[in-house]
Amino acid sequence: MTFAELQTEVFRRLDEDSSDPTFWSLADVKEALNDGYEEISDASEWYETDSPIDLVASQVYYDLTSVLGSNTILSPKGIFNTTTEQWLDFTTDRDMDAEMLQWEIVDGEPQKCLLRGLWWLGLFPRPDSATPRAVRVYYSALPAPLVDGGDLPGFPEEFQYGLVHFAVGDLLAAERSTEKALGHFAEYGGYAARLTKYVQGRIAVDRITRLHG
Amino acid sequence: MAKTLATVTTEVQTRLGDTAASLWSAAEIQRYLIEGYSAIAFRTHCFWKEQFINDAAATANITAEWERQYVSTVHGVFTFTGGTENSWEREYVTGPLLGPSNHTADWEATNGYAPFVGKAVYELPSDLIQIERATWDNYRIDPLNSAELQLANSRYLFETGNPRGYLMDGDGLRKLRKWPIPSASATGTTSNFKIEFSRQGSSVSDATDEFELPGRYSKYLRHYACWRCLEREGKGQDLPLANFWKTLYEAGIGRMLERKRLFRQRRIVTLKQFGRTRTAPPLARLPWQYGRVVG
Repeated sequence: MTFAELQTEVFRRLDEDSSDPTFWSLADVKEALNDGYEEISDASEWYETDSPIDLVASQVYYDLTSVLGSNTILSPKGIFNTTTEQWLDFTTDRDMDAEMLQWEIVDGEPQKCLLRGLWWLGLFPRPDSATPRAVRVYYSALPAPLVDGGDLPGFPEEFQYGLVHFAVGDLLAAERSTEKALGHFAEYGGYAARLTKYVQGRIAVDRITRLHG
Repeated sequence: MAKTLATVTTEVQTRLGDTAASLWSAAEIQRYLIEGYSAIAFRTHCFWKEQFINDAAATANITAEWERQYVSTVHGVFTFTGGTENSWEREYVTGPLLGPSNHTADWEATNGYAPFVGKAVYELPSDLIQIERATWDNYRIDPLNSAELQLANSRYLFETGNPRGYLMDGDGLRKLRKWPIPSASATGTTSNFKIEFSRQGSSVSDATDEFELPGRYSKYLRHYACWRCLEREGKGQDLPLANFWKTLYEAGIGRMLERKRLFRQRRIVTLKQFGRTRTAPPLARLPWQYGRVVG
């Protein structure tokens, strides 16, 4: 469904004329739909992307909310060293302390990464100054909001009615039609849960391993 | 992109259907937003920071708290002088034991006009929630508690040397005591004492102040404020709807915690990869069946 079709569907469920709404404005509906889009994307982490980080010599920690270009990261999924063409191992500061003394001042090609707080990425060894280095971060993120009438949500259509339910619930809640709003939010919750399951269950078939197949 | 307090306030008013602020004032909503902001930081430990609390000489230039107002730069409070914490003057102090110190300005110690007396107790940053790690000269140092140190070494308060541990009890709630007491000031990039800690987000009080939380997480603040507004007694109270916003807020907190947990869960532990032996080598033993008849 396009963004325009989603808007029409929301107006229809609110018993409003989509071409000349009287109670809710088009801007209200667009905002409510994008709220739902953000909420369901946050819950399911369906959107995956990647960005490079230019490393700085001797710098251990990088703030992922500022170095990735767009501040939409939800969680890092993998870090790839573009120089060595190796994936970095995930570790923690406690494990590093147990393995090595003064690990923060070791220079070299990053081999491991750790997360501090929710979005500070640490690298071990820290990049040396020999040549410019970069790693590529693969992460789940929020998608760009829906703007034009022809914009499509990035997940399959069968889950897109969840956005309609969230938007209708959101708009009715503001009008204090609590019971109806909660009903729509409950419907939305079902769509969000199914989308999350769909995202996490992409590999649904077990592997058949054959030697000398 | 981070949002301002005013932006999120307007979003809450729209969700509550109260853009005229007839039921909930902007000030009330902003109180809830700031409360939710602080709660997120405390519950998820999402903000992180590293800061140096470098070894320094115990400079002090006032002898009681009330003197602060009369001094332009306060270095510290002391009630006895001397080279160590077990100075003979301690016995003659009737008030709180603060010190020792033997100079009243940093330059006196820097220029060697006073013998070095290390400062043991340091004020922690005001935004600190919890220390996650501390290092001295990039070596991790251990958190200790005063009870175990008292058992191990009765003179731990007076020992000097390179810090090998730190205490958070016995000197006040937001104080850190280095153990042993530093015997030299930090110089350049070596001998630095660093703490890494979870902290509160940057302060937000004016309408134009931005939340440090990224925009996608500031919607949790909106959920929190909607919950609190609809929950409070009075006109506009709607407990079922309040409960719904509470559920969304809690779900958001749960996601943040889960993201941290999943990253840690994916860690790969490789024993001895970088060559540090943590345990003694295994003892040499005879084979289990040595000398026995094995049937």
